[in-house]
Amino acid sequence: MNQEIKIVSVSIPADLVRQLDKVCDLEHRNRSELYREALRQYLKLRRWQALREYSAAKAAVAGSEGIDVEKIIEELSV
Amino acid sequence: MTNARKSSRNGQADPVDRIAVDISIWLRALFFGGSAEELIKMALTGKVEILTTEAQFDDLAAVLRQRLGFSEAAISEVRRFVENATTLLPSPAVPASGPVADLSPLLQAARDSQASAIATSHASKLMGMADFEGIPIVTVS
Repeated sequence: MNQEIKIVSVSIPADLVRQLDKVCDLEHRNRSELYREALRQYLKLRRWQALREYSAAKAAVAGSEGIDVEKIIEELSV
Repeated sequence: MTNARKSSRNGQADPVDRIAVDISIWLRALFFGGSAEELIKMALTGKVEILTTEAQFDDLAAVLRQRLGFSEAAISEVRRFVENATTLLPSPAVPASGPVADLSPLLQAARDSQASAIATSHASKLMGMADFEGIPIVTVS
């Protein structure tokens, strides 16, 4: 897949870089690969957290309308 | 699928468990967190690979939309998440006849994709099965 690549400069504490370099050695990966993966995971987690917060708001509305989310889940069939 | 695999010492990717999940897992993870959420997060960090089918996603979207009031924008966001975090399989073709004609699409997808396990929060719905064709069925509460 063709992707536009941008080269960015970031400031990272030396100790953190040392820890990351250790992981690079253990996992036989270069810094760029590891940093990309770390960023992707962070963004996915952030996206998940936003969905959790939205779901919590919807559950609160459902609860106030007498809708039982647990019961909805229990009613599902495989 | 963009999930990363951890490299082992010889540079080869370590295989991860492939777990077929039903929509109760997604709903429980979204609304209650707990073990279901932990399973989703394990997929985010590449510790496991989660398998979901298009048909299951459609069912999930229908529940979120019709019974829980999710907006279309929110459902699109759920879909983006599912596509990025898991392996979204095409729905298995339903066999025309035979002993597996009534097979749950989840079980069929698990078999076809050689899943390591099937995760559900409805053990009773799978009639107390400990496994399906050798694929263990695990309950996530």
